[in-house]
Amino acid sequence: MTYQTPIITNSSMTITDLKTGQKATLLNLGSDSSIHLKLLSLGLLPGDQISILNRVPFKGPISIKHGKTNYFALRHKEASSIEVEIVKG
Amino acid sequence: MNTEVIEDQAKSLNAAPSERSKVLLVGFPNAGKSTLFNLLTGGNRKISNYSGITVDSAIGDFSSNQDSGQRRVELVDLPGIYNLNPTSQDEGVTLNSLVNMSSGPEGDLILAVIDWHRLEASLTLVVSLIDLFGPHKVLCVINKDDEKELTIEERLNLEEQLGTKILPISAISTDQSVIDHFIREQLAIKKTLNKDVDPRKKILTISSQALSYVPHLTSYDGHIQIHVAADDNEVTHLINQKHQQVRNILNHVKGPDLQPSQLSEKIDKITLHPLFGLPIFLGIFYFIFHSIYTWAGPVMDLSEELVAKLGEVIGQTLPPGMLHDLLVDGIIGGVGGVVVFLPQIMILFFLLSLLEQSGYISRAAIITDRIMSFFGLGGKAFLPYMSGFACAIPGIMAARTIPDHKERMATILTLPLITCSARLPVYILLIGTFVPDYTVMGIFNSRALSFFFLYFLGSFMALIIAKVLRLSFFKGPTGNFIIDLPHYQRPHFRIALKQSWFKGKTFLKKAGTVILGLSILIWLLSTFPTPSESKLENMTEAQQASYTLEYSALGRMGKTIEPIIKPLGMDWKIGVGLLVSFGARELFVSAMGTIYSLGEVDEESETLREKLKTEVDSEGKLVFDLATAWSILIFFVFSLQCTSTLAILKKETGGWKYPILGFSYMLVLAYVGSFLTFNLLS
Ligand SMILES: Nc1nc2c(ncn2[C@@H]2O[C@H](COP(=O)(O)OP(=O)(O)O)[C@@H](O)[C@H]2O)c(=O)[nH]1
Repeated sequence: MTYQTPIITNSSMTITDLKTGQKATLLNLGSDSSIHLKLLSLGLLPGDQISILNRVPFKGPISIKHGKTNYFALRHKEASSIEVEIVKG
Repeated sequence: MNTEVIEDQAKSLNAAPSERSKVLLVGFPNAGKSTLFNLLTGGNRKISNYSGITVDSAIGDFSSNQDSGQRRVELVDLPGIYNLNPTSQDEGVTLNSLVNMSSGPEGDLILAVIDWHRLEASLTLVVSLIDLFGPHKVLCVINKDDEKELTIEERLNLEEQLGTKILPISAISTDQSVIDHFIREQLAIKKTLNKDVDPRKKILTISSQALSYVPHLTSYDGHIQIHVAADDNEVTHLINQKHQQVRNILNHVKGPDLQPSQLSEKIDKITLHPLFGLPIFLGIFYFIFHSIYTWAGPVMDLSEELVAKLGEVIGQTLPPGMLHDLLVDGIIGGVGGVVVFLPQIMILFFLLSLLEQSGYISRAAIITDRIMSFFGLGGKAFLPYMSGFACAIPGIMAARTIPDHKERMATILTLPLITCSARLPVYILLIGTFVPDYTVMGIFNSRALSFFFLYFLGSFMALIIAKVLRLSFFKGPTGNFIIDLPHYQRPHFRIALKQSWFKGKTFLKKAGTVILGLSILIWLLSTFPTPSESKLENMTEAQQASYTLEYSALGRMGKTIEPIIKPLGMDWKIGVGLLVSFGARELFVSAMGTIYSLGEVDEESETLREKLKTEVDSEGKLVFDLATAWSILIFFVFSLQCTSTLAILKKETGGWKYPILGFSYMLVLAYVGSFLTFNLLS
């Protein structure tokens, strides 16, 4: 990698900014409490690692891998409220 | 009454509860509760690989209750939940049943079904259950441990930390007696634990929004204290805590093998592919319709021949008269005409069951979400719509999983437009008779394609109307769409066969009861009143038959509405069919069967399809041409001809307003649609 950001200040980065195949760490589960609750129920916690598996075109749902064997999908709109940080490497 | 009897009765009343235990199945959607329910009770309930299929709780007796000396255990299958904060009506049902279950040593117990593939998340629910009800109220099984991956040390460790015994099982391969035995044994043990229970009331914290799905709890006063959270953070914080707790508990558990999930991931690369996802989705559904045609064709021809032969044999053995006519024209013509569609119904449900089991349905929900949300519905509406292909009634009930009221109403009101299996006989009869059989673009079959088109048209119109409703009566934002994706798995033929057999039986039952009864009624109405002998003089036999029908009650009704349906290309005989089909769609086929047997001159064995094809009107013109056939088909695509659907609409919406609205808009659609079709094609 040729450039490096010393401090990760791009806290505005959300799941929708990730490309297919990219890994990231969840910073929070969004501010909408119903989304938050649903993600918690599916087993996600802030700090967990996720990776993007598939994206349906035209801002369709995004399918995501969480942990080693868990998969879920959510809409583009919901994904855009969840902040993440890219895992390098 | 003598005192002895009263005492006896009192004794038996007292004795009753101690001899019966109720066990509530609780777990994530898709954890395998229904499969387990079927295994333990021998019942045959719908099994599916999509969250939310268990929409209504069902009670079943343990099969082993019949064995002597066993106490009676009842199993209650509840809708799946993720946590104790319901987000829809059916999750509310579960919480309500839990909170209101009877306490004490003889009270109900919870059987928590943990999904081995979602161990961590489902354990969070179990820990909440144990915290709230106490370890003496909760039995645990870990399901889907098909390969026995949970080691004994891991299990013992978990048991110690949770304070309750755990049985790892596979609802698909574990012997029923093992699970049965475990539950009975635990029931006995848990009873004795009741004494040492902490008498203080436990607190259930739920959000105010969750409370709206369990309105009864506001006035609840029982063994649990309900606390309404000040804000949602309080709730998420609590769940978060439980979750962390579970992670610690699970530190020493290795978890399931990675291979199945890696395979799932690979399959998803194809089925959820940005370009191929949609074509694959369409391809799968086209394949289903194609199979119904090509596989069922020969079987159907055979059963049609059999029915026709039966009519002929009975027709020749019985002396002419009323009984003869009732049997041959009313019952064999009416019911027989419907029964021949059994193979198609069974094939449809067999394939749908395979699809459901495979885990593809959730992917289909993802693929279609863009389209659904464009029309103002969430991905959550996909499953109800999908169930609607079988029958609108389970579909309308499945809509209870939709959290948003307005979205739910828009779904419910458009569901009857989805092509249900009762339309199948009409479609097959007309397409099979009037659409020529040829190959389109090298690979498609013209009939399968027509069939696919009708299904598509119904669904498409449902979406359009949903959009209209969402822009008018039921305006509002669409709810969330976050679903978990189960791993793909190889579908079990045994389960699919059972499902298909079960549906076939239901279909035959309907044919043998409702359709039979109404067919007899149709026959009566189409036979009486009879014209006087003098009128029939100087007529050929064919003319007599035709005149008698016209003279009958049903004939007059048909004649009355003829002016209304003439613009649709239909004559009064078809009108009679349409009229009766408002009771149940299959009756169209029965009525056609009866009417065309009546008009028959020689009792030669002829199938209904042949009769329709050759039917001519008074001027010798063919009654049914392609335009008329399509006009009827389009009418059936759109109109709500099903009394049971109206009844369930009333039940679910709490009044006659919406059923009437639904019925009317669909009738208008049907009429306009038929009119346009007929005029375009002729
Ligand atoms: N591999 C495996 N699949 C199972 C097992 N139990 C259930 N299933 C499947 O999991 C899916 C969901 O089961 P179902 O009983 O409908 O779950 P419910 O939503 O909890 O009632 C179905 O496709 C079942 O065939 C099991 O022990 N092993």
